Amino acid sequence: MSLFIKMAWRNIWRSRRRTLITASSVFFAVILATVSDSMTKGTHQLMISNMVKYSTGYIQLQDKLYDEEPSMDNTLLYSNDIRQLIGGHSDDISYTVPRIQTFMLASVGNTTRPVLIQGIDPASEVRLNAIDEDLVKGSFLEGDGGVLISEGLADRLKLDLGDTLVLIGQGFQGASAAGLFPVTGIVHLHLPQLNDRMVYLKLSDAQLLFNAEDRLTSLIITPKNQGTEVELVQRMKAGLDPERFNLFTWREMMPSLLQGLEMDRISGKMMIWLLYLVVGFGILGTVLTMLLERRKEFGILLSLGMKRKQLAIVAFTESLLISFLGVVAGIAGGIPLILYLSHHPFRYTGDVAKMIESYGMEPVMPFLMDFSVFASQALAVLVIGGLIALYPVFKVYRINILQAARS
Amino acid sequence: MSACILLGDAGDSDVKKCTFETMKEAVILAGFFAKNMSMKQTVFRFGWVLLFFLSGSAALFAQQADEIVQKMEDKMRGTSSYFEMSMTTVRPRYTREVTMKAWSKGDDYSLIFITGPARDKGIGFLKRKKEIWNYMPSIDRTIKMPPSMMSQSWMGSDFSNDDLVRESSMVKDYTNRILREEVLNGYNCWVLEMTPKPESSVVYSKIIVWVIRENYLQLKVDHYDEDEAIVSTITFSDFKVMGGREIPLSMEMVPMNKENNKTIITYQNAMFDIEIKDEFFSVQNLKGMK
Amino acid sequence: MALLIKIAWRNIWRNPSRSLTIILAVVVGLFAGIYASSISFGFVDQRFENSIERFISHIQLHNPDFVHDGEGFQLVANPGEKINWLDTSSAVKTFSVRTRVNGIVATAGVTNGAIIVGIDPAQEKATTRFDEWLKEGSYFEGVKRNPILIGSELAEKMHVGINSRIVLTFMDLEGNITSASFKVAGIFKTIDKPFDESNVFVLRSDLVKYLAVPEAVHEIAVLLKDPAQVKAVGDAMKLRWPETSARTWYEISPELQYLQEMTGQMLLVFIFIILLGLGFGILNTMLMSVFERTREIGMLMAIGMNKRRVFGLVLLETIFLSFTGAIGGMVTGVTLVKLSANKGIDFASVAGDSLADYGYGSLVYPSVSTGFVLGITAMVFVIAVLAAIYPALKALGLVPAEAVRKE
Repeated sequence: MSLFIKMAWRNIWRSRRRTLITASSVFFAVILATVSDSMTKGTHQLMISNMVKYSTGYIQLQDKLYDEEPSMDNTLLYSNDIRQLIGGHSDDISYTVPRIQTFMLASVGNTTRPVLIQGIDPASEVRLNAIDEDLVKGSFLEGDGGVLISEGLADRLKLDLGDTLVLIGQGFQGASAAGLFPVTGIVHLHLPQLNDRMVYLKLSDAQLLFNAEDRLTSLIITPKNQGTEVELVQRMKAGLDPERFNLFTWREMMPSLLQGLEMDRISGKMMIWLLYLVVGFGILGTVLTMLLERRKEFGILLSLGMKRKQLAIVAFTESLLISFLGVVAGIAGGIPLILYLSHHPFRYTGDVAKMIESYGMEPVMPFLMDFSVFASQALAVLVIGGLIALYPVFKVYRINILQAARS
Repeated sequence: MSACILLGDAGDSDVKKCTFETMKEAVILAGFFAKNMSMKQTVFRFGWVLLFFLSGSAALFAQQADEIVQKMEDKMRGTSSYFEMSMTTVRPRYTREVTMKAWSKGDDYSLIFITGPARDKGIGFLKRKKEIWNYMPSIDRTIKMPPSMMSQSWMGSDFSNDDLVRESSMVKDYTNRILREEVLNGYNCWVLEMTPKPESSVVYSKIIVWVIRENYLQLKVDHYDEDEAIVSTITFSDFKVMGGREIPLSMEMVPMNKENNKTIITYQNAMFDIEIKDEFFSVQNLKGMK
Repeated sequence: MALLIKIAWRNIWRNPSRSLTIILAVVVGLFAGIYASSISFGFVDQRFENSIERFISHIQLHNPDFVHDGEGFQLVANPGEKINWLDTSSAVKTFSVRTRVNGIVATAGVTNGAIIVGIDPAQEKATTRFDEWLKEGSYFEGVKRNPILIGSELAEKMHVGINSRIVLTFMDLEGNITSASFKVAGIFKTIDKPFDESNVFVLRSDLVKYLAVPEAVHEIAVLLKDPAQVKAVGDAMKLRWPETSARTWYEISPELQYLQEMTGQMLLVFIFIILLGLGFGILNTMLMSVFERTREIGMLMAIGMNKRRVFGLVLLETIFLSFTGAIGGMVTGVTLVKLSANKGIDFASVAGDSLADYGYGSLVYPSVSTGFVLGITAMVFVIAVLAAIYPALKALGLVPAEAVRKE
């Protein structure tokens, strides 16, 4: 066996030019495949992160009954047990976002509207969805006792900085909740449904208002690496009382998003397969021509007594080795390229960019820099190369020795 | 037969008596026919006569149903009243009690003040026709309830704001009929089926009421939805005379889709037919009370 | 020249498998590009048509404050005069007059917020073909008193079916809270899930009874005979009725305009990658072919063929190959598009219902413009020829004497 490999290796370098051309076909194939895959995976991940950070977060801890009945009564107590659990997984958790939220009535003068109140921790909330980016006026909950209201709500209630907002509703375990709050900030939110009715308070102020000390409606947990949440949740569940808490990933909370993502994944796959087909032909073309060139050589070898089987194995090994070289070169070249692209992604231009930005998203087509991209594409191209390498085998068996030797 | 239509207060015995009279008349009439006809004809004629009387009785019963409902309604509403009561909300994780004072005049006006617990003391609700106003002493503000809040729970209980304002006339808005008579919790009752008429804005598909025959008071009410499932049940108990009237001192409301949830209202004091001016039910008054 | 062509043509068919490989690569590349683009454009078209023809219409008239606040008392001024004008205008195909209020829908167990829209069935049918969304029951028939049409998701949430009783609560135009019971005459399902979940439809004649203002009109949606006239008619309306807001579809939904552009930009990246793959494949194959024919080319040069002609030869070969491939790819691509354009492709099996969450139907009719097809074919052709330049140049580098001696 090793004899064949040695022969194949020597043969390859006998005609460097031939080898280099064929290998470069493979090289280009790998580069293009990794760029495509990186792009599809990158956009896919961006889609997820955009949807998740503006809604449920990656992981959410809730009181057991909150899912069925999202009311103030079904809040969880942010006790030491919870803190310890989070601390225990601090290697995998980047940060947490505590929230307490409910509907209340907001009143200004004679106008009364239902609004969604969210008690938040400004620092961690900003980390999750950069909500302070579109601050229109005032400050982002810097002092105590003030409220930050959404732009649409400010419009409808004709509120400006310094005006007083009346909030009336129900607190924890039936207690009444009522308060007067000065407007200390106005923020523009990207989703119109939210922009019309959000009121943000500091977490401690909200908990006081609802008579819900240390209580939260949800605790969002952001893992260090996007994509690890399912597995992290499994591990964390071991330390949680299942009778008292629920720990969900965004997949469980937004099942319809999963279907939409599936569509995206499939269209990405189709694109890659088309690419494989095209580059496959490219590699095949070079191999075919190479065979053409060596027809005489094969004919002579066979007439000298080499068995077809042996020649076939050598020819196969040669093609495989060339593919392998091309793949290695492709990865070597691909890594710096993808690295560059991941920091300088493709940007949309003109009105399209403005439209995307209005949804609160960056108008880019991102590239994912990840081991899985290289591994999967290297493997794919290697397989293609291997399949194409079978063609020489086929040819070897079909060669007419006399004709070939004489050509 | 005209002699059988019930007027005024009627008790158990009157109903029986009336039917008997009719039957007696039927028998007498039948005998009269019998004298002047053959046996077969007599039976035939008798049958018709009986049927005639019986269908008359059915119509009689429908009329009776409406009458019963009317009386039941009259008993529930007075011209004006004053109550001191406490409402206990029972939940799987906690129980909360709220005490309050309430004035009402007819169907259109009522004023409620929370007297306890301390944190909620002074909270007021004013109902004028279909509008509800809410006063919060902690911030000294009054707001008018928008339609979107009407279905929200009132003071954390199983009753909604809507329940406070809902005024349907039970005779006008429903088609009523008697299903049967039954003994429940030791009381003889009519069991009535009340089906809302198409024009009414009642959400239930039907309501079954147990009305105590002795005093036309409601004993139990089952509310049904479209799928013939019970949505909620209200049970009355502890019937005593207070403020000159016999009323149930305790009312328990159980929503069916939530186990272990219920709201219980008990009356500590009641006065009826008191003098209250319409002006008493005003937004300013809402603030004044302590 | 003619000689060159003859030689080039003969060369191609001397090695059929290699030629076929290049041709196939071009066919596949072009076919993939055309078909994938047609599906993308199909999606865009569908979204576009659906949005305009079934939801937004061409122009909408509102009270200017209503656009912003959506309050019940913000009525269209002089509706009678406007209706007359629309009736007699030659540019207008149909229009639909609507009354809208925010309210609550309730059954015994469930309450939900909703927008109550009062329509004239005949007008609405002509303008948005709303009756075609009916899944169950009938379009306002079968229920004598207060019929209502409700979306299927909402119907499920509230456990109602045909003939079920629903109570609507809303504010009349004098600020009083009113309730009325309605009976479900039909259940509809559009491709826009959020729309289904928040809109219920009643007869305008029924709704205005409860509003205390018989002429209450909140919205008039206008469909034109010629969509290209939208701007002109919109401007005319703005001039004629300065106190009313007359918005065209692109003012109402600007993102529709950019959808096509954005899809185009995304496709460009995809096509670029495929073309690169194609280009490298052809380059390497032709390069191999040049080296394989070193002796032959050297011979040609030795007997007097000048460099320009050799260059031209290689180029011609590539042109023939890619031309054949281009025609083949174009034909197969367009044929498949036409075939599937008839019945359309249903993505429901892949994406399920999730597309409706974003307002997309799952049935797509692939379509592609002639301009696009010709453009992409031309690009493929150009890339192929460009790819031939390097090998052609290399062919020139072969010194005749050395070439002849080469083995």
